[in-house]
Amino acid sequence: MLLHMLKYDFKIMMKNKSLLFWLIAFPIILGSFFHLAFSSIFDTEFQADAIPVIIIDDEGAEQLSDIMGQVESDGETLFKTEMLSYDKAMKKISDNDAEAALDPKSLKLYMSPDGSSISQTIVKQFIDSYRINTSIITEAYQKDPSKASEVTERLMSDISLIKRGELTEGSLNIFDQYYYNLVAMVAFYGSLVGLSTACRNQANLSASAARKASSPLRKSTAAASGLLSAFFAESICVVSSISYIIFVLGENLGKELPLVYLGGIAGGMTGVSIGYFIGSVGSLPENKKSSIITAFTMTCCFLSGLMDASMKLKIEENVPILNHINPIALISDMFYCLNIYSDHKQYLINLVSVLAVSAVFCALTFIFTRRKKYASL
Amino acid sequence: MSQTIVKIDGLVKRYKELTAVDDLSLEIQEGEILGLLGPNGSGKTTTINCLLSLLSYDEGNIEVFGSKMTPDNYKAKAKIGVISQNVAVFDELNVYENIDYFCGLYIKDKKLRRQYTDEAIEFAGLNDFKKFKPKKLSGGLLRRLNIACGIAHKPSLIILDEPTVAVDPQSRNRILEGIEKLNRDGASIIYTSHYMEEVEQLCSRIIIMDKGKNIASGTKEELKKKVNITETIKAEVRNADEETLSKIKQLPHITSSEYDGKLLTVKCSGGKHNLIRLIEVLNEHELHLGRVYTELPTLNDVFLEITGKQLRDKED
Ligand SMILES: Nc1ncnc2c1ncn2[C@@H]1O[C@H](COP(=O)(O)OP(=O)(O)OP(=O)(O)O)[C@@H](O)[C@H]1O
Ligand SMILES: [Mg+2]
Repeated sequence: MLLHMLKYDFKIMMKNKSLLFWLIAFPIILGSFFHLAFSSIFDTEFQADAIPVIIIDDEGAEQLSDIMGQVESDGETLFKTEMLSYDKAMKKISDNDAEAALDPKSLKLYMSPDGSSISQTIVKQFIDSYRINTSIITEAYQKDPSKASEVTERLMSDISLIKRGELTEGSLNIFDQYYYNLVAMVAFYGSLVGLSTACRNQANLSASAARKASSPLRKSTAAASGLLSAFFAESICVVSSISYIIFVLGENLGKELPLVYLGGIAGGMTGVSIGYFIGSVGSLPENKKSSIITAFTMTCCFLSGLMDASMKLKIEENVPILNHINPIALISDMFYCLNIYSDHKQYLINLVSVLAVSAVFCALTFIFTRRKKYASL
Repeated sequence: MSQTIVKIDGLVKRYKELTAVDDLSLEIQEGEILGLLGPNGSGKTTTINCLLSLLSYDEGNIEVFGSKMTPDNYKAKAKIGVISQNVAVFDELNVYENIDYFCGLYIKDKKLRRQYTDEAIEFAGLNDFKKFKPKKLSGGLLRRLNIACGIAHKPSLIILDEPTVAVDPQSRNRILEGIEKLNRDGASIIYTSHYMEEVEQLCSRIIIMDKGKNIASGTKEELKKKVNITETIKAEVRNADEETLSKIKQLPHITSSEYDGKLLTVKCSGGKHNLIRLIEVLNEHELHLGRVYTELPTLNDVFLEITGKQLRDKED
């Protein structure tokens, strides 16, 4: 019985066109779009000259200038820094004599109105990445001071990895965040898979589920088959998205591929179980529930920086709690941790918490679907 | 001795304020085709869903195959086949896969399942459409697929909820013949409909429902005996005047007469020569007669007599 159910549950999922769109086509389109957008920035218009950046003479200016000086490619530095007082810097900016000025303390970025948008984008991306990293340094320091230097060292090497050669191939570290979020989005769209599975099992949501419910099929068998096949289908989607990003687009998602895949699949399971739960409770029709899930996913993606990487930072600064409960942020952080920390401790913590969320929702669903009769169909 | 297959006792189902099924009792004997006849919203589907333990109900007792019907009564469920009012198939699967899927919920043995699936396809006349997705089927074919999915496992109790809605007469006849065949092969059947002709043609016993209540039950002959009317005479007449009409009303055995400017409808109870007497009156007044025909009482008359309203619009 279970095998019979698994076979068909899986088949039905793999033939659901709208699911396939959101889980396979959409990520491929979006990923390719990122790839084109980011690589064209560097491919076509990027001039060989270093980008002139003014660093306002304040606390930390030396260090920042040092780090920016280290960001180089083929022996050529990416940025040409100059230290000036605030007033002079502002004058140069407004006179269009420099592209951008940085305040080393607040990491605030001032940009000239007529500057080259490409150069300015690069500076902005650099400073965003730097900001994320500095908060990680502080965080790591607070957790375990002895590890902090190790993290700092790794970060430095990460930043100095920004080399021209890699730029033209489009694999710039500071853009990785977008791909992390993309994978997290695919993982979380597993909730749509979970939802459609639930609707095939809940007699008040579809006529075919009512027909199933009047057969001798046990509820637990239906739920087990639905969840297992949904996990499996979702894993295929996650694996294909990750593979597309890594092997077709040639982007970097981290050095330890098996762990990257594992993280993605775990995220997918969370998505599926949340969707299955939403599908199993309440009596809203499937299309309403599905709109809710899509809107929720897109909002979470937006907040964790899928559309604009600096979003996550703004949240970290203003409402940090959001980043700790936003499932997309949690999942994308897993990949981030893989890249940033030399040991797997943080990655494992995230992995376990993502799996725990999944287990909690599965358990909740099993409890809810014990309800056997409906008040209304 | 025939066995009682289903026994519903004092069933009450409320949706918030609305009482959809109101103290309904019924029994189905082995080998019967029981018709549940009632207008839209009379509670037929609700009764069926309670019977299947899909819906919770407020009062009453339901026994199927001699044991209390509950959601875990898998033994009883295994012997039931359901054809729901809404087509219940998967759009993603083709005709063959859909039947195989639902058959597989009952039949574990693969070989037997393949045989049953093929037989169901044959039964529903879907041989040429095995690989078709439901979306590609016409309305009638889709209904037939819906039926095939419900009967493939050879259930001994088959519940059909308005299986012929929106089906052309040819497909409808095919479906009705199929149901008769299933019954001949030994299945007991519950058939709900608001088409009285279908129910009259098919069912060995009929329950008429209105507003969730069982308002009359019996064979069609028994039901028709409940009304006074023995025949309804209809005559196409033009320009009948008041005098003629009142004369007609005074004829013996006439219980009511109606005239809409074109058609004269006269209902009679008992007596003989009602038609001849009516025509005589019309001839006396030199009225031109078009078609004249008589109808035996219908279930609609029964419904009308009990509830004071039509079972359904004639154009339906
Ligand atoms: N889920 C529900 N919530 C509230 N009221 C409902 C619900 N389902 C049915 N009803 C009401 O219960 C009554 C009986 O409905 P039911 O579907 O059982 O009628 P029916 O005889 O099957 O009608 P039809 O011939 O149209 O199928 C109707 O008045 C209907 O409006
Ligand atoms: Mg109905």
